[in-house]
Amino acid sequence: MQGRIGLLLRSPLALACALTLITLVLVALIGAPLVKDIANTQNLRLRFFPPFSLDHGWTYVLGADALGRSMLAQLIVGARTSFLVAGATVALAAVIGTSIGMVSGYVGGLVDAALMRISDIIVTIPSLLLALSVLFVLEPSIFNLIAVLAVARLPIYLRVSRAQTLEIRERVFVEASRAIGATSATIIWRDIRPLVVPTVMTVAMLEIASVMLAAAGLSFLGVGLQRPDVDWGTIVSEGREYLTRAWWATVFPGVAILVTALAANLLSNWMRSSGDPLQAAAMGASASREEAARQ
Amino acid sequence: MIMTKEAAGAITPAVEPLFSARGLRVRFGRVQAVRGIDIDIASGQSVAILGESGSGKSVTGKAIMGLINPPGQVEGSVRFEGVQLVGRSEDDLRAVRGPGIAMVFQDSLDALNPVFSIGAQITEIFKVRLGWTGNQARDEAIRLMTLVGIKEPESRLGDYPHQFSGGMRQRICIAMAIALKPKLLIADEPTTALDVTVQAGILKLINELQRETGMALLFVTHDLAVARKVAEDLVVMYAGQVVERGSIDEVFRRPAHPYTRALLNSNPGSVKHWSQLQPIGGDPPDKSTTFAGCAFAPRCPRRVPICTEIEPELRDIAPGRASRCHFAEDVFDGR
Repeated sequence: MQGRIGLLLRSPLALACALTLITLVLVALIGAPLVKDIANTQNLRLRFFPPFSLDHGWTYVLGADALGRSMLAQLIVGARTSFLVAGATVALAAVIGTSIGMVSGYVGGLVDAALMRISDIIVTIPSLLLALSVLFVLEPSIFNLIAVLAVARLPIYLRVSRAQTLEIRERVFVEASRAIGATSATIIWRDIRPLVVPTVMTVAMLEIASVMLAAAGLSFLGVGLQRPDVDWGTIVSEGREYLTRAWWATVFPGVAILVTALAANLLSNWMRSSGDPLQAAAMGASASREEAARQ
Repeated sequence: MIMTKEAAGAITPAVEPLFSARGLRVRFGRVQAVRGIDIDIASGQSVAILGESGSGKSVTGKAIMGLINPPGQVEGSVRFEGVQLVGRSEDDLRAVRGPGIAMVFQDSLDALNPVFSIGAQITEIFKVRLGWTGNQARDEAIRLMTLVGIKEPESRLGDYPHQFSGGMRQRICIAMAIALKPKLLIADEPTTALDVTVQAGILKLINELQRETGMALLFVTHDLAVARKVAEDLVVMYAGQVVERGSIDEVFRRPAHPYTRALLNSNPGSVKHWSQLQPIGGDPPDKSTTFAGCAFAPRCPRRVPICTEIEPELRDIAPGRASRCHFAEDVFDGR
């Protein structure tokens, strides 16, 4: 692990991405409770107040929306919800999907066939329709939103991890583990999981952005988050109506989603290659060569 | 060099042997990879299975370990220390794998998990199977690595598989296979992927380990010279059947089956110049078809009509020698 952090410190792009994500998470955790009231304060005289001006204090530096609410404060509050929804959804779907996928792929046979057909069924149901109906029947809350989105996203992890498992299962070291008497559980955990997780991580990081957008879509349809709960997606969809008059109401939350997704994707790419001892060794070697060349 | 070994009769001892397979068959759909073979191995005995590609020799090794996955089907009897293994559950087999029978695989490049250090992989065996603590397992791992000839084992415990050469990796695989002190080691062409100098070292290591630990060895190979280096007894396989068996020196000196004889004649080590080599004409039979008569008949130089009509039995022709040929005696007598 020590080596992993050392490696991170030596790769500037990955480090920048990690720092960006950490900053955003910290802002969301610490900042959100502090500016919650400001975010919900309406000031109709400041409707569509343009950004980059400190005339009405630092809270309006990113402008105001149609109801005169501070964009900056809303972004900070929205960050917490966005991270919570996206993070929890992705984590839930990834853990459950990968576990089922690995077992399904390793055990094979009827179990595999049954699980894959269930996954096919989930894929055939439009996720938006599923979410709409579930959230319509149950009340729209953050918890229900996460649960519905997680179920809809499950098949991706299931398929990716199953496909990887099918390939790894045939490798000689799995056979060697069986030959030395390892249990199926041990083989899945020690031989298959370490090789499946990097791929799933990459997928999961990519999924964070699409889950944020899916949550936004549901908010837009009125079954997602309800005010005063707000996430970046909600702000984007609210601002969309005034795109021609106040671009900042859409662009800033959009940029926030973009930056988060980009940082997550680049970081996941780096994590995937550094999780592989072979590639990590190559990365370490080239980094130390560069250092040697500089000295 | 190996002439001193008392060999005749060793292949079928009177008492129940350590390991015995009877009528072992392996089928993959229509393809019959192994078509009923009998092998006995006594404690401390070393047996080589010799055969060309596709003769079913590797599948035999895997079938013994219970490593044939569906849709492959295993029939017949495999008894280890008097216990039937065919048809047992994975849980029952697990108890045998490791301390009973262990296996070294052909592809040493892929036989180690690429994402864990060597130390982690060796010590895990002791932690999981014997419940040892970290230090105890580490000490034993260092001992094993020294035993298989890895220099400075302490400093190499943290290295990953890709940091080792092919020969070193195969040595580590051997260390892991013998970690639980198996009574029978199955080596499935362990030196095929290695160059000749490394190969000699590995064979020497296997021989030494066998002598020191007294374990039995089943060595699967297609290489005549390799078989002769490691084993006392030889089983020659062709098209999923045993065609000849006996002490390795005897068989090499006086083959009793046309296939074995042809195999010896096609061995580059046996002739002075390559032009004297006599390759075996034709191809091995298609194993998805059933055929009447002898499987080797289409390629056999001394084929007569009876060969393609009646399938020969594997029969004893001399003490400790058996051959599956209608004319085994003639071949045996050099005719």
